[in-house]
Amino acid sequence: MAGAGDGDDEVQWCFSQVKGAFDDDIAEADIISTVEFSHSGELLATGDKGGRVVIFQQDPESKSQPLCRGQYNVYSTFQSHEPEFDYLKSLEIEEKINKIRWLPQKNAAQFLLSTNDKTIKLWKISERDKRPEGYNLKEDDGRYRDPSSVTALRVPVFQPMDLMVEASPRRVFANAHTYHINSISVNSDNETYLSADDLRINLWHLEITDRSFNIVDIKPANMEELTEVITAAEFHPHQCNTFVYSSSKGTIRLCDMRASALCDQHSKLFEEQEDPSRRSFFSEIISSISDVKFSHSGRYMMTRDYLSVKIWDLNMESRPVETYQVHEYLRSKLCSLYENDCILMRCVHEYLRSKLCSLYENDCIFDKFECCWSGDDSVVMTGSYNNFFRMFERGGRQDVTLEASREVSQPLMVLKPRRVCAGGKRRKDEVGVDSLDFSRKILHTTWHPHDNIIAVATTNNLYIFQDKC
Amino acid sequence: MNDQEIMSQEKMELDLEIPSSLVQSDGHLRRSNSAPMINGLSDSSQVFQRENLRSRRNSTTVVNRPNVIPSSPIRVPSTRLYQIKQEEGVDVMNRETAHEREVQTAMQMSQSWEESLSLSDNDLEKSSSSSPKRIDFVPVSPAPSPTRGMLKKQCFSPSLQILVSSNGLTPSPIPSPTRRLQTVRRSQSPINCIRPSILGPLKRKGEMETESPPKRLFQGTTTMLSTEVSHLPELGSCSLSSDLLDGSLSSVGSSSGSPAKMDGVSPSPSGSPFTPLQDRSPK
Repeated sequence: MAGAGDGDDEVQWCFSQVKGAFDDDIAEADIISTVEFSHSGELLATGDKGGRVVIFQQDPESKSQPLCRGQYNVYSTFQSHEPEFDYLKSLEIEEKINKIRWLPQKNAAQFLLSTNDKTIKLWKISERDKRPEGYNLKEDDGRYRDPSSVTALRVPVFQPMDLMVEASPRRVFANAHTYHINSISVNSDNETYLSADDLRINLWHLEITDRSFNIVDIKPANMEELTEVITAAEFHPHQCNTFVYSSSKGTIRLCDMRASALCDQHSKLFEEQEDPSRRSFFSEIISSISDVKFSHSGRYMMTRDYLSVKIWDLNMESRPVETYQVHEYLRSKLCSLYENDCILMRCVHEYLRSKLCSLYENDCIFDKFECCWSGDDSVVMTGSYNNFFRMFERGGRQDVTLEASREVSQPLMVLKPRRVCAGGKRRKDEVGVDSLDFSRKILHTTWHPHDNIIAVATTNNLYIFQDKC
Repeated sequence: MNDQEIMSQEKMELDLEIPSSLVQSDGHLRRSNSAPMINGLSDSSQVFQRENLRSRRNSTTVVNRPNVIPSSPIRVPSTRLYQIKQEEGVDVMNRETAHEREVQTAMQMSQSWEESLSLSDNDLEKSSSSSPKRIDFVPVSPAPSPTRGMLKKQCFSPSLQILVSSNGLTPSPIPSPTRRLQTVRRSQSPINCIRPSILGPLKRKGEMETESPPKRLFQGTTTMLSTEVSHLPELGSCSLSSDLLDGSLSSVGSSSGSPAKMDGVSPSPSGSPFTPLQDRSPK
């Protein structure tokens, strides 16, 4: 699928690895909340609800072997954010990592930005494989020597040691957001980045933590007039003055920072006029854009709303150039997904034995699915329910539904395409819409920037797949 | 379900018209309340009834009591738009009151849900699930200072797959991330940290009361201070601390709480949700 062509050239995906335990009892802190490959693809970072970041590294020995290039091992783990409490407003601040974004590598160390609802942190990840030994005043294990027992001097030398990966917070960008941060995006100038919350977007310099510029503010003077919120924002991959932000009403605004200091006035407004015959009670809710991503080329951008993925040409604002239905069969189920009654019933069995899971508070129709481009922009991918994820080949050529499941968890097992039966006669290997498990959803996916390796996060497991070669 | 209910349910699904009970005066749609009538909190009984029946029909639950539907009694729409308007629109006091109410009802939900579990499903471990105190609501620590430990380096050894101290010599006690890490518990409001008052409807001055079922148990006890002191050791073995018990008992004695309220409470009603507690005590 990553390459063009007929059935013979069709890409098949194989299982490579799965990270995390297969417990029925899922601790809330283990729920994966973001996944991101680094710019080289060598590192893969995940953030979870407990505020931790786990970084996997591509196995250096397997990297060159075509069959096992999808081997990733734990490289580093650290606690990025802690739960906090806003005493002024009597509100908890969740430690859940909303987004991780890598900086392009400049030297031996790696840098990433991680954010929760309120605070962004810049982390430096560096390796240490030597340590000094032979101190005069200290033993090797750290205990201090009795000075009177020192009779001769020696020069400490560096000795090799087991590789240790250090993560240290280099910058903390705090107190700039009243509302919940939903996106961060590093600029192509590699000096600045933006952070977006529900009503405002701020521009930061990576070196400066005590100031940020507000570049978008959609908060009205009278809050009663508030009709939409910002849902995602991203910088253009090549033009350092351009960024886009999406809204809960299904619009995308492209802004040019050269035009004015405050970009409340958009340069371009991307909106598809709604088909009046399809209008329903849920139209506005399902049009809310949950993710926006520029293509690597910078010519296109992709948006994800509840039922579909749309590809927009930046030169055309009136409508998307391509639209792909992710799970159109859910349209008739919108009522029950909103009310969540049958979803709850399905969830009850799984969560009976565990603590009250916050899942029951979530209504599926508000699930925020992400989407991503393949390295060459020829395929786009997004997640769905029942641990299904979908890939769409550009140009509307082919699409496939695959599943991240325990059954296909042997190395090099090929993933079989899945089908959902929307109605009528159900064939043997099809899954009926009513038997979809809405508690198992894939919200976060990421694609290796240069290779056909993908990472797909289920609730608390990370699946890594590679293409069969 | 009778025909009328079926019809009204279909009407809900097919019509684009929104029932007037769901629309607030400012034109924004309020989420319908699909909660069961626990403590009479459901605020839209007509809608509720319809949904309750619908969910029962679709139910695949293994819980034997069909009345227990694990949804929050106060359903806040999950859109950020609504949440922001709520937070900005009300003053702090009202927001805190609303927050307290939410927490309080969530605690009641969790307790009543667990009670139904322990009554109907013997497979569940009694030790954790029959406790009236949810783990989620136990304060582990007050909110830590943002600077605590966060400026320190965190070092990980890929070969040992554990966190190590920064001089690389001694491993720290934090377990491997490939195994499930210790659940990080969210910090709680300081108000939440106060355990549910055991005095029930008695309002102490200037304090937010959180109402919870175990209170009634203690109320029952206090009416029988002289005759049923033997209950006290049993209660002391419960998860609710004896400190609280003692403190509250003494303040019962000193406060001028109306005796009428106390008398009205029957001690240890049969089939009460407190059965699991009492069963457990003398072990």
